[in-house]
Amino acid sequence: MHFKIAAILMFILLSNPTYAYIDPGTGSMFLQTFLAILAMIGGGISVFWKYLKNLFVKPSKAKENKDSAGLGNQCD
Amino acid sequence: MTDPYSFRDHSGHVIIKGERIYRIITSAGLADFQKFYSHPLWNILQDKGKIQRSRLLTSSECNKLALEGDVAAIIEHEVLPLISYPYEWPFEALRTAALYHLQLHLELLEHGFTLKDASAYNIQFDGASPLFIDILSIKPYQDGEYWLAHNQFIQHFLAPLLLNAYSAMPFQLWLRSSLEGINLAALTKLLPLRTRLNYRLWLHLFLPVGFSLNSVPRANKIIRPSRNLPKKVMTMMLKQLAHIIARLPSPKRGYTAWENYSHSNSYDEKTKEDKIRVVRNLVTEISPSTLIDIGCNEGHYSRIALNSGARRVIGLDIDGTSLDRAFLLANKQRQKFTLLIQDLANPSPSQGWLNKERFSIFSRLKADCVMALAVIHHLAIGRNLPLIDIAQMLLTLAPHCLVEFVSKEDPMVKLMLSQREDIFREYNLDQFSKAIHLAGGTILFSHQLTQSTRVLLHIKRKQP
Repeated sequence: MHFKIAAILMFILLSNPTYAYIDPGTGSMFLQTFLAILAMIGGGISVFWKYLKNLFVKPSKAKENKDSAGLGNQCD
Repeated sequence: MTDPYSFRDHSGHVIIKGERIYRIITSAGLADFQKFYSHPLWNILQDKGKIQRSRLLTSSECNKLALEGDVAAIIEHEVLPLISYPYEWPFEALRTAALYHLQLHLELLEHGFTLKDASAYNIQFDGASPLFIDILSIKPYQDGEYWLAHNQFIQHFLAPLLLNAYSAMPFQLWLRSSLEGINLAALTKLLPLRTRLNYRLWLHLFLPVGFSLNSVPRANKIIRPSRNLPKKVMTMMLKQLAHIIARLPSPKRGYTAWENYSHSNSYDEKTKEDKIRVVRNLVTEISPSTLIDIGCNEGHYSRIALNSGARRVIGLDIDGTSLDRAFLLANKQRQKFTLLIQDLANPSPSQGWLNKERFSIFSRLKADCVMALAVIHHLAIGRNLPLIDIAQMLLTLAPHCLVEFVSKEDPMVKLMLSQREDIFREYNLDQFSKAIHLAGGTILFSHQLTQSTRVLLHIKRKQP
């Protein structure tokens, strides 16, 4: 009986999962999909944040001057 | 002859003809190669010494080679003086190679190219400076593509470094028996708990391994990339890996007998000066293009050889700590000094597919001179190896040998024999001299070091 329990425990503790059909690189693919989704969400939030900011914050004077200076240069 | 280790790539393979090395590009690999060849990066990377110097053969040169099969183009590579494998590199050399690989990949991405694999075997060392040799790994980057070699990079570079950095286990032993790299599932069980708290490591190692282990194979559910990976994210992954690797602690090895050996040995200053003088004179006389220093330790005598006229030195030693120190110095000073971990009683064998994928160390080492200073007693007494075999090994490596023979009267040998039975009746200078003659060598000079029982011998291989 003790032998059977020991054998079962050995099997559970020592057996390794098989990679015969699942390439170990699958985990790396999962990581990259995960990061791609995070990047997409991050990109979405940043666009939305800019949109909100533009609703409530007026462009500063300094920036306006800079923009007009830029136009001036272009005309030259 | 086709280099058997290049058979896996369908876009091309390497052939060796005489002393020259060619890479055949098949029709499958031609389009990608042409894009890289026509880009300024082809010359820039060669001029910077970042990729192996290569040239495209003209059609008449191709015809002269008279090769059959799918040959779309041929490039000739500069011949490297030594091919070494990652399981022979000390820790700091693998770290340098890993950072170099990542930096090259980032540079390629900036110019619209990427690397299709991340094998550590694609890097070689010119002295102690890394060099990328697999030109056909470079391909144009497609917007949104995944870094398919991420897992390979982890297995070949990050995993062995982590293993060595966080445990006393040298990675070379595992990597030598597992040419595809370290088994990541097994590695995660060996790493200490604190490594899981590092979010970069969690992302690149623990998360992907956990996902792989919990995936159940289903024939009708094939996992494919479902979203585009922005280039910025791939760049961030490469930079994160560089961050992890650059900050890895040096290996925990504890005290090794060879650490500080050059300071703790039994020489006094006059003996040392005498030994240096003999080494300097002999190397100046022979001026070898390649010298092998067996048991190089931290490379003290290798550097003396380099400064005395040896064009390049290959240092072999069993001790990783000493080799790391020697490597860092050689890399910093750009010396032509390559350092390899080797146990000469169990050297790198021929192995891999049909035992022909990776060559044995003895088939790759070629030199004009071999130095074995205070090594013979470690092989003959420490490892019970016959003197005749040791003499044959030395004379196989090079036509000139400089050997320091340490007799039983020496304090270091007395120490070795203090806790074991002295069964080495044959171990003496006379028997070693006989072994040299039997192995086909002649002793040109013999010099007893000042204030020491140690003897330096200049041995020359007899003409056949």
